[in-house]
Amino acid sequence: MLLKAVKLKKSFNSTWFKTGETPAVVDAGFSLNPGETIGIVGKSGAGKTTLGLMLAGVIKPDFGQIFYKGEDIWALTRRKRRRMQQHIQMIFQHPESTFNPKWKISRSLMEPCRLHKMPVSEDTIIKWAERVGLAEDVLYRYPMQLSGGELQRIAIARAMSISPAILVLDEPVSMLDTSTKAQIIRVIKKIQASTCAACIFISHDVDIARLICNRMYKLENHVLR
Amino acid sequence: MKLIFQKFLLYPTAFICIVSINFFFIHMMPGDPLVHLLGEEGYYYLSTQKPAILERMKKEHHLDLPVYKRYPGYFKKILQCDLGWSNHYGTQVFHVIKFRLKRTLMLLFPAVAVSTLLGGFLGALAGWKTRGMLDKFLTPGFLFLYSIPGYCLGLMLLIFAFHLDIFTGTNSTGSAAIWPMITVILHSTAYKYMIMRNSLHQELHETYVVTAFSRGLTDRQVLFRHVLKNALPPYIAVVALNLGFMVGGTLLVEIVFSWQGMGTLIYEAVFSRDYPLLSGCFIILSLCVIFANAMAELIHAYLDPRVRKGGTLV
Amino acid sequence: MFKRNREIFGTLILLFFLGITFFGDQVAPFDMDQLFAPYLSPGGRHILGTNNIGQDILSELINAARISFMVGFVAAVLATVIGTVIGCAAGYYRSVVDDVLMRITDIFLLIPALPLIIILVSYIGPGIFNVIFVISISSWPGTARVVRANVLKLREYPFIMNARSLGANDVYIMFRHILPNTRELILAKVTLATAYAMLTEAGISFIGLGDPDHTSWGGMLHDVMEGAGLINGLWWWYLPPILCISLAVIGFNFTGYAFLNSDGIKAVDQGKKNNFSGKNNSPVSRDTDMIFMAQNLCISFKNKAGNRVMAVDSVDLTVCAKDKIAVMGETGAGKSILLLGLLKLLPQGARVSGAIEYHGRDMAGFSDEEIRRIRGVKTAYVPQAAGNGLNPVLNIGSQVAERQIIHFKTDKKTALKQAQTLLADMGIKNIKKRISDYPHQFSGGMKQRLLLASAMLSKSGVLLADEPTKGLDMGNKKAILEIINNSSAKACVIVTHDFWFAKRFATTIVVMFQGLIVESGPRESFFSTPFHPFSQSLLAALPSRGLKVRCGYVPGRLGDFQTGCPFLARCDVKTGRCMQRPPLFRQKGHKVRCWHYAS
Repeated sequence: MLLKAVKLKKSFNSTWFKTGETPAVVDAGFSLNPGETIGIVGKSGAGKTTLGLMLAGVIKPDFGQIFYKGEDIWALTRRKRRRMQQHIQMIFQHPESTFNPKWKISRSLMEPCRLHKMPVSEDTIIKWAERVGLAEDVLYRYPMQLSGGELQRIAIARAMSISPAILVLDEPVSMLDTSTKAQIIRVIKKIQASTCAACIFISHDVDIARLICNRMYKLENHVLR
Repeated sequence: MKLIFQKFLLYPTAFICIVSINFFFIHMMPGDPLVHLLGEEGYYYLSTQKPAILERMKKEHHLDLPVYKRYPGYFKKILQCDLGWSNHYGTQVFHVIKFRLKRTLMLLFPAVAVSTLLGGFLGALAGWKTRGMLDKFLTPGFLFLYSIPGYCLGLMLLIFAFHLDIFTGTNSTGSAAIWPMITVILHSTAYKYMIMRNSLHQELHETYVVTAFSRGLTDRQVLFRHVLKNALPPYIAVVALNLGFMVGGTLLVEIVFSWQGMGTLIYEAVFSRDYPLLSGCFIILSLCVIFANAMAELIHAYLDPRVRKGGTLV
Repeated sequence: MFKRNREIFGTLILLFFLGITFFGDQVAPFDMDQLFAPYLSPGGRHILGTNNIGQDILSELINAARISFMVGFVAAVLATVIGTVIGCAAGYYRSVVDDVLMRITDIFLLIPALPLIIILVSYIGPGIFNVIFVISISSWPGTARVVRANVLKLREYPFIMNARSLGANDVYIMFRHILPNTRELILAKVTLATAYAMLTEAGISFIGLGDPDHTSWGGMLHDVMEGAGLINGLWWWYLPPILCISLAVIGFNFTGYAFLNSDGIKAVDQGKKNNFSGKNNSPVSRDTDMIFMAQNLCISFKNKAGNRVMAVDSVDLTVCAKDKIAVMGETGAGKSILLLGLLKLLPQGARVSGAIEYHGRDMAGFSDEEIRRIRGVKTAYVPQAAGNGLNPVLNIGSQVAERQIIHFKTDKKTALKQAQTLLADMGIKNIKKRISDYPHQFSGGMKQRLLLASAMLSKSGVLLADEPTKGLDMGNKKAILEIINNSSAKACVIVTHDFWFAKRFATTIVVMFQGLIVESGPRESFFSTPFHPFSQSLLAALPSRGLKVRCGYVPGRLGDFQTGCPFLARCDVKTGRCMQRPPLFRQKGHKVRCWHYAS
């Protein structure tokens, strides 16, 4: 078992003296095996994004644990958790803001490797870009000069650059139009097949989720089933 | 409602802070606190002529107690409107300020009202049709007026009036008020015009404007029924924040025109080193600004349902 | 262009003053210690005369510039540093830190600055560094607020989240991601704060609290007041400092706003070249009951780089009674603009050519009053609900009823009652209570219904709607579909991405690609046998048809196909003829813009 979540809970309170707590996720628990794709579907506002952020280790759950290969990730030391985090990567809903607007694409693409002190060169990132079907010249542009579909491809390339074991996809195609949607899903599937990464596909579109997921969970009224 | 309540806690806190700043300066700055409590003239007079009274004053102000124990007494005095004794004027500070404040408010009230309305109105018209005739003529003019400090504008107006021989002089309060008032109004109208123009211009990009037009409304109906109602709350908020600066500007303009308000009072207090008078002026002026801000907050809440009905405004 | 000029003007002024500040000693004709006869008029050796103690005024002015700029700049930098640190901390750490810091900031904003500065200076004594300290203490809150707002916005962005999911620490995120994206803001704040600090410094020097050893422009004015320069009309003494202060402030303000307006990165032209050659030969059927007819309609905009971009390109569209048209296509295909164009609701800067006829009459000849009647009475336009489609500060009742009140002179009560009935029919519960609520109290699906209601209350003949099902889930979509199908409108034109919706609502499907209509045809045959390669690829990509990628994405830039078929780059069945732009061909009841169907 690659990843296991047990009884996750997270709520946001509006002010620091705890008034008006709004639950984002009340109860979520599931398990993920290597190489498989699971779907998490639910209506807007059901707390899907919050769950995704928790799984990627960006925000800490109020209660419950996340086990990666049997280790509770929030019980690890800070340094160990940092090393662990390269194994779980996330792709976000809005492609136009997943990149620092002040950086050229090439710099953004190299960021994960630089942060984890892995060797990286221009040639390798060109290879990554080709893997997701992009030409070299997009690497030397700024994010605002590219289309949503192109950016989402680069986001996939960036996430896969440090060869993670798990990819959390938070509505990766909901902001794209129909034909681009299909292309992106193709890219994801292709890459997944070549790297054997496990995927958690978060979406509100049951049709798409059904097509690519092995198992599905439903997030309803803040509870995951 | 909670949001409004939270906001209103702010005003008393601000007042306490202002009193505390004053206290800090009087009691914690190097030197004898009595100098700060009596002013330099008063301290000099008493210490050379009547040292006995000076000793009594020390007792009266509890200067023998440690610093933190003096604070409640000081605060109580402020609440009782006892701001100390002005040696320069030979009377209670509060009395001097009471008279002078009236004269400053005489300038400020009409200026705030006129500039808010006029600046808002002209700004709205110019922002509605940017690159229209009105915008083309008014914007550079107001931009220039806004960049000249208020008192410099006052100086220029004064000279201008002097040379054209239309200066009304200082015979009666009414005629003396005209020039400083024109100065303050011109300067703050310029600022408010710029704010309103930009705020309205931004509103025009919102979708609801298209919705309104699609209902077949006329330009005027869209402007007054829809756009202005959205542009007003932020405008009021900015006007409120600007009040503090406006007070400062007015003080300087008063000095230029020798208008006997708070500005000239502070000027004289600075020169005679009359500290009680200075800190009294500061406390009273701050109180006025805080009060005006509270009022503006109420108007803002009334105009914007997102605040009134507990939206998620940050 | 006016804006650009302003920026250049501002920068020039600043450069001039900076030059004076740095090379003051070389420029100034006399030393400040040299005394001449007092009150000399301008002329001869003294270009601006002398002051009350016999100093050369031009030299004094130049020396004062140095003081004014030094005080202004140092105070502004200090204030901005304090403000940025506090703003960043509050925005980034939020919760307790944010609340405490922001309350302090609010309190500082409430205290009137000038009186505070006066009292501070008079307690700690005049002196250049005291003045700098006091000004920066009193002017940081504005910066703190703006920076905090920006950081608060940035920290929720996915690229920050991504960096965090990579395990980056706070310092890295702050210096690599957040601060670079706040740079323009901070630069703008420094310049604007310098203007403010110079003004304040001039103000306190003017009342005589400046450093007596270092006269600034404000200090010169103080001397004028003291030395009776005003009453005696010594204009060469008081005018120069006034002009200098004003010019410097204008310079800083203009430059500051220039920073605020810059996007940091120059937008690169993604647009196509302007070309009006696409003449259309296809005959237009003239129906008797036709309502709208667009003929060869072209709408273009200027993009950021100043090139004209065609949003709608030679479109012929006829809307007849009983037509239910769904306009489909990719994002940016010009669908929404086409709708707005029909009602002449285009934003400023749009250039329109071609003709739109309404009931056989050219709309170009209509008066404002007639166009308003068409917008308000004859048609009902529904904008997208995302964002502020509804006015956020008006209650929903008055917005839904507005059409009735304005155009049919219904009194407010009756109109509101009609609105209530309609909204109740649309499935909004508890309507009596909610009629005076405000838009922010409704969910996305509800807002969409409100917009529909506000358009449909007057029972107009034509319904024009822009993506009425965008971002809604199935339940809401079904409700919207039902409302539209039950409406009394004789004809509908609806822009949509949603095939599910189009399939159940439309009688005719129109597909747009890059501003052109590439295919139009009846619903049944469109969904079974689409002709244009683009339509085929759209349908193939549907999840229900297996997400097939037929005509895929092509790396590199789109555009520059103006002379050829717009779909050329992505087409998998292209031939040599496709280098020319195809007209619309008739094919089994469809009109298709593709050479494959040339008879």
